[in-house]
Amino acid sequence: MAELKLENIKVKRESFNLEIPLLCVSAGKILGVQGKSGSGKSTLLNAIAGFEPLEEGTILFEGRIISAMPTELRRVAIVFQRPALFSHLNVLDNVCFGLKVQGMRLAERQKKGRYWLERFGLGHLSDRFPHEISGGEAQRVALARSVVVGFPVLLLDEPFSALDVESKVKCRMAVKEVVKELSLAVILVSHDAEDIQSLADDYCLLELGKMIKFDSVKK
Amino acid sequence: MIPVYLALLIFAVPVVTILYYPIALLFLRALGDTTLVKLLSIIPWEVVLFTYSQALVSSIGSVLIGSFLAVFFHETDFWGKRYLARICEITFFLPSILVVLSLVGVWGSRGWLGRWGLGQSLYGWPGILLAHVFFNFSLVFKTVGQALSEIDRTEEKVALSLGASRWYVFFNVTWVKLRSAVLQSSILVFLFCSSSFLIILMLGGGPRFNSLETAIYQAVKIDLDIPVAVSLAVLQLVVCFVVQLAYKPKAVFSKVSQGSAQWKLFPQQKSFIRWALVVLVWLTIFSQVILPLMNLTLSGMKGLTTCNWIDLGMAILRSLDLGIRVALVSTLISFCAAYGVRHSNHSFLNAMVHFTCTLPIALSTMVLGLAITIAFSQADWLRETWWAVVCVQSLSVLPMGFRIFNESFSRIEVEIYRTLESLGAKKHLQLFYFEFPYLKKTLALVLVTGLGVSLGESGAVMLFESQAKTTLPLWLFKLMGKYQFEEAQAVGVVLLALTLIIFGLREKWQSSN
Repeated sequence: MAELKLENIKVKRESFNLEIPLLCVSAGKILGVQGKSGSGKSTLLNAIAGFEPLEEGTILFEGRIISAMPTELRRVAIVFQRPALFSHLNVLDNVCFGLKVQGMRLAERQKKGRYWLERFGLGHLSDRFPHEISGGEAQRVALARSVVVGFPVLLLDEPFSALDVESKVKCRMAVKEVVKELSLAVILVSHDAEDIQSLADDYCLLELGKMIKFDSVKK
Repeated sequence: MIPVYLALLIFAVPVVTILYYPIALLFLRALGDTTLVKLLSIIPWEVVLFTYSQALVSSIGSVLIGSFLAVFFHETDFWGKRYLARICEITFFLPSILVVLSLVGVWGSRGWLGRWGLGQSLYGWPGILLAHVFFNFSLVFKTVGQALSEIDRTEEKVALSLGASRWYVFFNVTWVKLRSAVLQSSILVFLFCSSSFLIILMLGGGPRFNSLETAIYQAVKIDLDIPVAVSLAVLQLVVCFVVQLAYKPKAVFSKVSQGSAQWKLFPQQKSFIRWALVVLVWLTIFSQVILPLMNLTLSGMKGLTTCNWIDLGMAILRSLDLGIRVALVSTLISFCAAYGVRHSNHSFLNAMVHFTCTLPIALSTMVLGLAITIAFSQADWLRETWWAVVCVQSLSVLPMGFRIFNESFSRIEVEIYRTLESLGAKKHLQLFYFEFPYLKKTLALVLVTGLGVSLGESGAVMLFESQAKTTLPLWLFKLMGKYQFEEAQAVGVVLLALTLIIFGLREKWQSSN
């Protein structure tokens, strides 16, 4: 079964060390990561995405080592707390960005982009620019953009923390649907216990760069 | 509101008197004396063509080098990077006469490299381009570098995670955010190069390389042909004004994402190309900036022993005398403008102040000097004393001074003013007990900026030249004209030292502002 696996990874960042002996996320599952500020949650995601180099250890997906690859070849999509939409592109072009990079033809990628926008309830916004939509809508566009490329791993770095309650609920529902449908292996970093409880299958707790707890959410 | 109106009045009276009135008279004189057709017929078009073509080529060179260096410095860590960056930033603050002197010292026929036959073609196009690029690339370097450091790199990270290659991300995400900074800095460089005076006068090497500025100077000082000078000045003003309309400096604040400074788009791997680029950058900066400045310093130190110290001391005192007056006048005017804009609710009035404060960017000191000469042709005292030069130089500082004050005022939140008001502080009390203490470093920054600009400016000084007004740049120019290079380098090293002190102070107050 497809699985994202972290083995004995160590990330060094100035005076801070992140050490994870073993961490696995299966396809179709969401792993919630919790911890206080500075515990290493975002560093963990940055290391998986390839923005932080590993001191030691390996990251594997389906048994293939991806930690030696550059970010652009890892097939790991990421959504940050800030939607980080490309301000010079409209909503549809933002969603289609990854498909364009893959070399997909214009008509095909627009069709796919529009489909996912509809799925996220954003079809009517396709011609708008990022500054013309709300924060909640922008975050759903960012989610659509990272899903449309069809990468098997999705990293979510506090994606709902800047949203109002209504947007939060919509975004959570969208994530839940997509993860099951596409069988994505997802790591969700959040300081909000409600996010973890409503979305994650398992969770781990980080403290000062060490994993101090790993358990099923149901327990 | 009385202090606000008073400030706007203090700003308006001098700008109307020494900016709008002289410019209006310049236009009236140009169109009053003759018809438009006749006016156009007396313009030497080859001079016009040369002025703007050299400005265009110089701008392209400066933008290419400045942008490349900014991106390279931002994306690559290498030995000596910090020091090289500082050196690159200094060149823009150097007086143009020092740029000429230091380049001649290396590439001139008797220069360090020129004597080996490497600098035979310094005079003409090569010298002008070299000096303009030397002078202006740092403006692009600093502006683009600033824009790069302010980019939130999350978008680049997202693009990479979506499978885009590093170069694809650079051209489709990073570059899109830099375009405006590059465009704005290239407009400024074009304006500076098209109104460049001393570099073309000294490195042009003859009438073949006459620009509008040198032609105006020649018409006023040598041919005494005011109608020609006026028509050239009007043309220069109109062209520069049209170009300046495209200049829209970016908003004051940008959000910088935490930790974005450490992250690099391109991996820091040791490769031959990277090593070769580092060597190329080192060599370029060394040969074009460090070597000329080193030559000036070493030769100048040698020349100091034979220099006339009394004349030197007098020139320093005159330069400082002029500089302090310019610093005080320009600080007062720009402070009043920014204060007025911060507190006034009249959008039209604020727009007018903004327009007035950016207008001098399109005006060279030569054009302004000519306009003031015509406007106050009866007021001999103005032209014979320092005040005509002070007026021209203060207006040149106005765009910078206003921008610095405006940025500082913008940082004061509305809530602070509301709190002050709730504590019973009226406008004048807010000014004395809050704004002045809060802005003391900004005040110091504008003062040294004014002093620095005045210290290096030579166009206005040469236009209103007299024995009693021999400042350091003017004296240097005269010495170079007499081929007394040793003595010129001695004066140059003193001017360089003063410029570096001012640059240091400016940097100190800018970073803490």
